[in-house]
Amino acid sequence: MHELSIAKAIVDSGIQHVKQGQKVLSIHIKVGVLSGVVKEALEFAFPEASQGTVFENSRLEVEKVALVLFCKKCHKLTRSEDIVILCQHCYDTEVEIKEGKEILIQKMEVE
Amino acid sequence: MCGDCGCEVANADHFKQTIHLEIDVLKKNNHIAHQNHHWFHDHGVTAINLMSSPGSGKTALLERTSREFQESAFSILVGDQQTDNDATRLQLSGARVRQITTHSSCHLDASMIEKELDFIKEKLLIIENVGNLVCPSAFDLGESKKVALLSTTEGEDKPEKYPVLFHKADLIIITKSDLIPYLDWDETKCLDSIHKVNPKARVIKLSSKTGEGMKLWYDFLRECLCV
Ligand SMILES: Nc1nc2c(ncn2[C@@H]2O[C@H](COP(=O)(O)OP(=O)(O)OP(=O)(O)O)[C@@H](O)[C@H]2O)c(=O)[nH]1
Ligand SMILES: [Mg+2]
Ligand SMILES: [Zn+2]
Repeated sequence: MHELSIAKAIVDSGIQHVKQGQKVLSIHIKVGVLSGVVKEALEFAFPEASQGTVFENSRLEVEKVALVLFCKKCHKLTRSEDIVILCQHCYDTEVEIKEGKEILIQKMEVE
Repeated sequence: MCGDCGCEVANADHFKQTIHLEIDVLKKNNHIAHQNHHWFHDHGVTAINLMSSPGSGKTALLERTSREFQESAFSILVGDQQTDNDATRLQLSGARVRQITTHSSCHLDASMIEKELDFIKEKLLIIENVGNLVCPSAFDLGESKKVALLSTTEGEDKPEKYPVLFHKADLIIITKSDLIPYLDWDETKCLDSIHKVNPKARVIKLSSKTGEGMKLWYDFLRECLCV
Protein backbone atom coordinates (compact mmCIF):
# COMPACT_ATOMS: atom_id res chain seq x y z
CA MET A 1 0.00 0.00 0.00
CA HIS A 2 1.19 3.39 -1.05
CA GLU A 3 0.17 5.18 2.14
CA LEU A 4 2.31 2.82 4.20
CA SER A 5 5.42 4.01 2.37
CA ILE A 6 4.27 7.58 2.87
CA ALA A 7 3.61 6.92 6.57
CA LYS A 8 7.10 5.44 6.90
CA ALA A 9 8.58 8.45 5.15
CA ILE A 10 6.72 10.71 7.59
CA VAL A 11 8.22 8.84 10.53
CA ASP A 12 11.72 8.88 8.98
CA SER A 13 11.75 12.58 8.24
CA GLY A 14 9.93 13.60 11.42
CA ILE A 15 12.25 11.69 13.73
CA GLN A 16 15.15 13.97 12.90
CA HIS A 17 13.35 16.88 14.52
CA VAL A 18 12.61 15.18 17.81
CA LYS A 19 15.15 15.57 20.62
CA GLN A 20 16.15 12.69 22.83
CA GLY A 21 13.69 12.09 25.64
CA GLN A 22 10.92 13.93 23.86
CA LYS A 23 7.63 12.28 23.11
CA VAL A 24 5.49 13.26 20.13
CA LEU A 25 1.89 13.97 21.09
CA SER A 26 0.66 14.92 17.67
CA ILE A 27 1.88 15.41 14.14
CA HIS A 28 0.17 17.57 11.57
CA ILE A 29 0.48 16.64 7.91
CA LYS A 30 -0.65 18.53 4.85
CA VAL A 31 -1.51 16.50 1.76
CA GLY A 32 -2.40 18.08 -1.54
CA VAL A 33 -5.05 16.54 -3.79
CA LEU A 34 -2.36 16.08 -6.43
CA SER A 35 -0.16 14.05 -4.10
CA GLY A 36 -2.30 10.98 -4.56
CA VAL A 37 -2.38 10.38 -0.81
CA VAL A 38 -5.73 9.33 0.61
CA LYS A 39 -6.33 10.79 4.07
CA GLU A 40 -8.14 7.75 5.44
CA ALA A 41 -5.56 5.31 4.11
CA LEU A 42 -2.75 7.34 5.64
CA GLU A 43 -4.52 7.40 9.01
CA PHE A 44 -4.91 3.66 8.73
CA ALA A 45 -1.25 3.05 7.87
CA PHE A 46 0.31 5.39 10.41
CA PRO A 47 0.00 3.23 13.55
CA GLU A 48 1.85 0.40 11.83
CA ALA A 49 4.57 2.66 10.46
CA SER A 50 5.09 4.37 13.81
CA GLN A 51 5.36 1.22 15.92
CA GLY A 52 8.45 1.25 18.12
CA THR A 53 9.29 4.88 17.30
CA VAL A 54 8.72 8.18 19.10
CA PHE A 55 5.59 8.48 17.02
CA GLU A 56 3.97 5.42 18.54
CA ASN A 57 0.57 6.49 19.90
CA SER A 58 0.93 10.05 18.64
CA ARG A 59 -2.12 11.63 17.06
CA LEU A 60 -1.95 12.05 13.31
CA GLU A 61 -3.79 15.05 11.91
CA VAL A 62 -4.16 15.09 8.16
CA GLU A 63 -5.15 18.31 6.46
CA LYS A 64 -6.25 18.12 2.85
CA VAL A 65 -5.02 20.87 0.56
CA ALA A 66 -7.11 21.77 -2.47
CA LEU A 67 -5.68 22.45 -5.86
CA VAL A 68 -4.85 26.11 -6.44
CA LEU A 69 -4.12 27.16 -9.99
CA PHE A 70 -2.78 30.47 -11.20
CA CYS A 71 -3.89 31.37 -14.70
CA LYS A 72 -1.07 32.79 -16.79
CA LYS A 73 -3.59 34.41 -19.11
CA CYS A 74 -6.11 36.17 -16.87
CA HIS A 75 -3.97 36.10 -13.69
CA LYS A 76 -6.83 34.80 -11.55
CA LEU A 77 -6.72 31.94 -9.09
CA THR A 78 -8.84 28.81 -9.36
CA ARG A 79 -9.45 26.67 -6.30
CA SER A 80 -10.68 23.13 -6.80
CA GLU A 81 -11.13 19.92 -4.83
CA ASP A 82 -10.99 17.94 -8.07
CA ILE A 83 -8.05 17.63 -10.34
CA VAL A 84 -9.04 19.62 -13.36
CA ILE A 85 -6.23 21.57 -14.93
CA LEU A 86 -8.28 24.46 -16.25
CA CYS A 87 -8.83 28.11 -15.33
CA GLN A 88 -12.44 28.42 -14.16
CA HIS A 89 -12.53 32.10 -15.15
CA CYS A 90 -11.30 32.14 -18.73
CA TYR A 91 -11.10 28.37 -19.41
CA ASP A 92 -7.48 28.55 -20.43
CA THR A 93 -5.16 25.63 -19.67
CA GLU A 94 -1.98 27.71 -19.31
CA VAL A 95 -2.01 27.47 -15.54
CA GLU A 96 0.62 27.12 -12.87
CA ILE A 97 0.02 24.82 -9.92
CA LYS A 98 0.42 26.88 -6.76
CA GLU A 99 -0.83 24.39 -4.21
CA GLY A 100 -2.01 20.80 -4.17
CA LYS A 101 1.15 18.80 -4.83
CA GLU A 102 2.55 18.81 -1.32
CA ILE A 103 3.03 16.12 1.29
CA LEU A 104 4.39 18.17 4.20
CA ILE A 105 4.97 17.79 7.89
CA GLN A 106 3.57 21.09 9.04
CA LYS A 107 4.08 20.87 12.80
CA MET A 108 4.52 18.51 15.71
CA GLU A 109 3.50 18.81 19.31
CA VAL A 110 6.12 17.29 21.63
CA GLU A 111 6.74 17.03 25.32
CA MET B 1 7.21 24.48 39.97
CA CYS B 2 6.06 22.59 36.98
CA GLY B 3 2.28 22.68 36.73
CA ASP B 4 1.99 19.33 34.99
CA CYS B 5 3.66 16.95 37.38
CA GLY B 6 4.93 18.99 40.28
CA CYS B 7 8.64 18.59 39.59
CA GLU B 8 11.02 21.38 40.60
CA VAL B 9 12.24 22.40 37.20
CA ALA B 10 10.53 25.54 35.94
CA ASN B 11 11.36 24.96 32.29
CA ALA B 12 11.09 21.21 32.29
CA ASP B 13 11.76 19.39 29.04
CA HIS B 14 8.42 17.71 29.18
CA PHE B 15 6.53 20.94 28.74
CA LYS B 16 4.33 20.75 25.72
CA GLN B 17 5.93 22.47 22.82
CA THR B 18 4.89 22.92 19.21
CA ILE B 19 7.59 22.58 16.61
CA HIS B 20 6.71 24.30 13.36
CA LEU B 21 8.18 22.57 10.41
CA GLU B 22 7.60 22.68 6.72
CA ILE B 23 9.33 19.49 5.67
CA ASP B 24 8.72 17.61 2.50
CA VAL B 25 7.96 14.03 3.43
CA LEU B 26 9.41 12.73 0.17
CA LYS B 27 12.65 14.66 0.57
CA LYS B 28 14.82 11.55 0.91
CA ASN B 29 13.44 9.93 -2.23
CA ASN B 30 13.60 13.20 -4.14
CA HIS B 31 17.21 13.65 -3.11
CA ILE B 32 18.24 10.22 -4.43
CA ALA B 33 16.15 10.81 -7.56
CA HIS B 34 18.08 14.02 -8.09
CA GLN B 35 21.39 12.15 -7.78
CA ASN B 36 20.16 9.53 -10.26
CA HIS B 37 19.17 12.32 -12.59
CA HIS B 38 22.71 13.70 -12.47
CA TRP B 39 24.16 10.26 -13.04
CA PHE B 40 21.98 9.81 -16.14
CA HIS B 41 22.97 13.24 -17.40
CA ASP B 42 26.69 12.66 -16.83
CA HIS B 43 26.53 9.32 -18.63
CA GLY B 44 24.40 10.61 -21.50
CA VAL B 45 21.51 8.32 -20.57
CA THR B 46 17.85 9.12 -21.16
CA ALA B 47 15.64 7.31 -18.68
CA ILE B 48 11.96 6.65 -19.32
CA ASN B 49 9.59 5.56 -16.56
CA LEU B 50 6.65 3.45 -17.84
CA MET B 51 3.66 3.37 -15.54
CA SER B 52 0.16 1.90 -15.75
CA SER B 53 -2.31 -0.32 -13.97
CA PRO B 54 -1.50 -4.04 -13.92
CA GLY B 55 -1.92 -5.62 -17.31
CA SER B 56 -2.18 -2.50 -19.48
CA GLY B 57 0.52 -3.90 -21.71
CA LYS B 58 3.86 -2.47 -20.53
CA THR B 59 5.79 -5.69 -20.99
CA ALA B 60 4.06 -6.51 -24.28
CA LEU B 61 5.03 -3.06 -25.59
CA LEU B 62 8.65 -3.57 -24.57
CA GLU B 63 8.75 -7.08 -26.03
CA ARG B 64 7.75 -5.76 -29.42
CA THR B 65 10.06 -2.78 -29.08
CA SER B 66 13.00 -5.05 -28.26
CA ARG B 67 12.39 -7.10 -31.38
CA GLU B 68 12.22 -3.95 -33.48
CA PHE B 69 15.28 -2.14 -32.21
CA GLN B 70 18.77 -3.44 -32.86
CA GLU B 71 20.63 -5.16 -30.08
CA SER B 72 22.07 -2.90 -27.38
CA ALA B 73 19.79 0.04 -28.23
CA PHE B 74 18.42 0.19 -24.70
CA SER B 75 18.40 -1.57 -21.37
CA ILE B 76 15.36 -2.35 -19.25
CA LEU B 77 14.81 -2.38 -15.51
CA VAL B 78 11.52 -4.01 -14.62
CA GLY B 79 9.85 -3.77 -11.23
CA ASP B 80 7.36 -6.29 -9.88
CA GLN B 81 6.32 -7.18 -6.36
CA GLN B 82 6.99 -10.87 -6.99
CA THR B 83 8.40 -13.12 -9.73
CA ASP B 84 10.81 -12.43 -12.56
CA ASN B 85 8.26 -13.41 -15.20
CA ASP B 86 8.46 -10.08 -16.98
CA ALA B 87 12.26 -10.14 -17.12
CA THR B 88 12.12 -13.65 -18.57
CA ARG B 89 9.63 -12.57 -21.23
CA LEU B 90 11.75 -9.58 -22.12
CA GLN B 91 14.95 -11.61 -22.28
CA LEU B 92 13.29 -13.96 -24.74
CA SER B 93 12.56 -11.01 -27.00
CA GLY B 94 16.25 -10.08 -27.00
CA ALA B 95 16.31 -7.28 -24.46
CA ARG B 96 19.05 -6.69 -21.90
CA VAL B 97 16.97 -6.61 -18.75
CA ARG B 98 17.24 -6.80 -15.01
CA GLN B 99 14.35 -7.57 -12.67
CA ILE B 100 13.84 -5.54 -9.50
CA THR B 101 11.64 -7.37 -7.01
CA THR B 102 10.01 -4.85 -4.70
CA HIS B 103 8.27 -7.32 -2.33
CA SER B 104 5.93 -5.37 -0.07
CA SER B 105 6.34 -2.12 -1.98
CA CYS B 106 3.85 -1.34 -4.72
CA HIS B 107 6.17 0.99 -6.63
CA LEU B 108 9.80 1.51 -7.50
CA ASP B 109 11.63 4.20 -5.56
CA ALA B 110 14.78 6.10 -6.41
CA SER B 111 17.05 4.02 -4.16
CA MET B 112 16.09 0.83 -6.03
CA ILE B 113 17.25 2.42 -9.28
CA GLU B 114 20.41 3.77 -7.65
CA LYS B 115 21.42 0.22 -6.78
CA GLU B 116 21.18 -0.85 -10.43
CA LEU B 117 23.06 2.00 -12.07
CA ASP B 118 26.04 -0.25 -12.83
CA PHE B 119 23.77 -2.33 -15.08
CA ILE B 120 23.08 0.57 -17.42
CA LYS B 121 25.36 0.66 -20.46
CA GLU B 122 23.07 1.91 -23.22
CA LYS B 123 22.05 5.50 -23.96
CA LEU B 124 18.42 4.66 -23.36
CA LEU B 125 17.03 3.15 -20.19
CA ILE B 126 13.41 2.05 -20.02
CA ILE B 127 12.03 1.38 -16.57
CA GLU B 128 8.87 -0.69 -16.34
CA ASN B 129 7.35 0.30 -13.01
CA VAL B 130 5.19 -1.96 -10.85
CA GLY B 131 1.67 -2.20 -12.26
CA ASN B 132 -0.24 0.34 -10.19
CA LEU B 133 -2.02 3.55 -11.11
CA VAL B 134 -1.48 5.40 -7.86
CA CYS B 135 1.75 4.76 -6.03
CA PRO B 136 4.48 4.98 -8.65
CA SER B 137 3.44 8.51 -9.51
CA ALA B 138 4.57 9.88 -6.13
CA PHE B 139 8.08 8.47 -6.33
CA ASP B 140 10.40 10.17 -8.79
CA LEU B 141 13.21 7.95 -9.97
CA GLY B 142 15.32 10.63 -11.64
CA GLU B 143 13.88 9.83 -15.05
CA SER B 144 13.67 12.38 -17.84
CA LYS B 145 10.29 11.23 -19.15
CA LYS B 146 7.23 9.76 -17.52
CA VAL B 147 5.04 7.65 -19.77
CA ALA B 148 1.59 6.46 -18.71
CA LEU B 149 -0.19 3.59 -20.44
CA LEU B 150 -3.93 3.18 -20.59
CA SER B 151 -5.46 0.18 -22.29
CA THR B 152 -8.74 0.40 -24.18
CA THR B 153 -10.20 -2.35 -21.98
CA GLU B 154 -9.86 -0.16 -18.89
CA GLY B 155 -12.53 2.25 -20.09
CA GLU B 156 -12.26 5.91 -21.02
CA ASP B 157 -12.35 7.64 -17.66
CA LYS B 158 -9.27 6.26 -15.88
CA PRO B 159 -7.34 9.53 -16.29
CA GLU B 160 -10.00 11.38 -14.28
CA LYS B 161 -10.26 8.61 -11.70
CA TYR B 162 -6.50 8.35 -11.23
CA PRO B 163 -5.49 11.87 -12.13
CA VAL B 164 -2.09 12.10 -10.48
CA LEU B 165 -0.26 9.72 -12.76
CA PHE B 166 -1.87 11.02 -15.92
CA HIS B 167 -1.31 14.59 -14.86
CA LYS B 168 2.42 14.03 -14.60
CA ALA B 169 2.91 12.02 -17.78
CA ASP B 170 4.86 13.50 -20.69
CA LEU B 171 3.40 10.90 -22.99
CA ILE B 172 0.19 8.90 -22.66
CA ILE B 173 -0.07 5.69 -24.66
CA ILE B 174 -3.46 4.17 -25.36
CA THR B 175 -2.71 0.45 -25.74
CA LYS B 176 -4.57 -2.53 -27.20
CA SER B 177 -6.08 -0.52 -30.04
CA ASP B 178 -6.72 -3.82 -31.85
CA LEU B 179 -9.52 -4.50 -29.35
CA ILE B 180 -11.50 -1.31 -30.09
CA PRO B 181 -13.88 -3.03 -32.55
CA TYR B 182 -14.98 -5.40 -29.77
CA LEU B 183 -15.52 -2.74 -27.09
CA ASP B 184 -17.77 0.26 -26.56
CA TRP B 185 -14.69 2.39 -26.24
CA ASP B 186 -15.07 6.02 -27.23
CA GLU B 187 -11.88 7.77 -28.29
CA THR B 188 -13.26 11.30 -27.87
CA LYS B 189 -14.36 10.54 -24.32
CA CYS B 190 -10.97 9.11 -23.51
CA LEU B 191 -9.12 12.12 -24.92
CA ASP B 192 -11.43 14.50 -23.02
CA SER B 193 -10.66 12.65 -19.82
CA ILE B 194 -6.93 12.87 -20.49
CA HIS B 195 -7.02 16.55 -21.34
CA LYS B 196 -8.94 17.44 -18.21
CA VAL B 197 -6.02 16.38 -16.06
CA ASN B 198 -3.22 16.99 -18.54
CA PRO B 199 -4.15 19.51 -21.22
CA LYS B 200 -0.76 19.37 -22.93
CA ALA B 201 -0.20 15.61 -22.95
CA ARG B 202 1.10 14.00 -26.08
CA VAL B 203 -1.14 11.02 -26.78
CA ILE B 204 -0.53 8.04 -29.04
CA LYS B 205 -2.64 5.00 -29.71
CA LEU B 206 -1.11 1.65 -30.57
CA SER B 207 -1.35 -2.12 -30.50
CA SER B 208 1.60 -4.26 -29.49
CA LYS B 209 -0.23 -7.18 -31.02
CA THR B 210 -0.82 -5.91 -34.55
CA GLY B 211 1.84 -3.23 -34.60
CA GLU B 212 -0.63 -0.45 -35.40
CA GLY B 213 0.69 2.91 -34.21
CA MET B 214 4.01 1.50 -32.99
CA LYS B 215 5.90 3.88 -35.27
CA LEU B 216 4.73 6.84 -33.15
CA TRP B 217 6.24 5.21 -30.07
CA TYR B 218 9.50 4.49 -31.89
CA ASP B 219 9.58 8.12 -33.01
CA PHE B 220 9.21 9.19 -29.39
CA LEU B 221 12.10 6.92 -28.35
CA ARG B 222 14.32 8.21 -31.14
CA GLU B 223 13.55 11.80 -30.11
CA CYS B 224 14.52 10.89 -26.55
CA LEU B 225 17.85 9.64 -27.84
CA CYS B 226 18.56 12.81 -29.78
CA VAL B 227 18.32 15.20 -26.85
N1 LIG C 1 -5.09 -7.75 -27.74
C1 LIG C 1 -4.03 -7.21 -27.18
N2 LIG C 1 -3.58 -7.72 -26.01
C2 LIG C 1 -2.50 -7.14 -25.43
C3 LIG C 1 -1.83 -6.04 -26.00
N3 LIG C 1 -0.82 -5.68 -25.19
C4 LIG C 1 -0.85 -6.54 -24.16
N4 LIG C 1 -1.85 -7.42 -24.29
C5 LIG C 1 -2.20 -8.52 -23.37
O1 LIG C 1 -2.53 -7.99 -22.10
C6 LIG C 1 -2.04 -8.83 -21.06
C7 LIG C 1 -1.16 -8.05 -20.10
O2 LIG C 1 -0.05 -7.53 -20.79
P1 LIG C 1 1.35 -7.24 -20.11
O3 LIG C 1 2.27 -6.74 -21.15
O4 LIG C 1 1.80 -8.38 -19.30
O5 LIG C 1 0.94 -6.06 -19.12
P2 LIG C 1 1.83 -5.28 -18.04
O6 LIG C 1 1.37 -3.86 -18.04
O7 LIG C 1 3.26 -5.52 -18.30
O8 LIG C 1 1.39 -5.99 -16.69
P3 LIG C 1 2.10 -5.92 -15.23
O9 LIG C 1 3.58 -5.94 -15.45
O10 LIG C 1 1.61 -7.14 -14.54
O11 LIG C 1 1.60 -4.66 -14.60
C8 LIG C 1 -1.29 -9.96 -21.76
O12 LIG C 1 -2.14 -11.06 -21.83
C9 LIG C 1 -1.00 -9.42 -23.13
O13 LIG C 1 -0.91 -10.39 -24.11
C10 LIG C 1 -2.33 -5.52 -27.26
O14 LIG C 1 -1.83 -4.58 -27.84
N5 LIG C 1 -3.44 -6.15 -27.77
MG1 LIG D 1 4.76 -6.24 -16.98
ZN1 LIG E 1 -7.78 32.44 -16.75
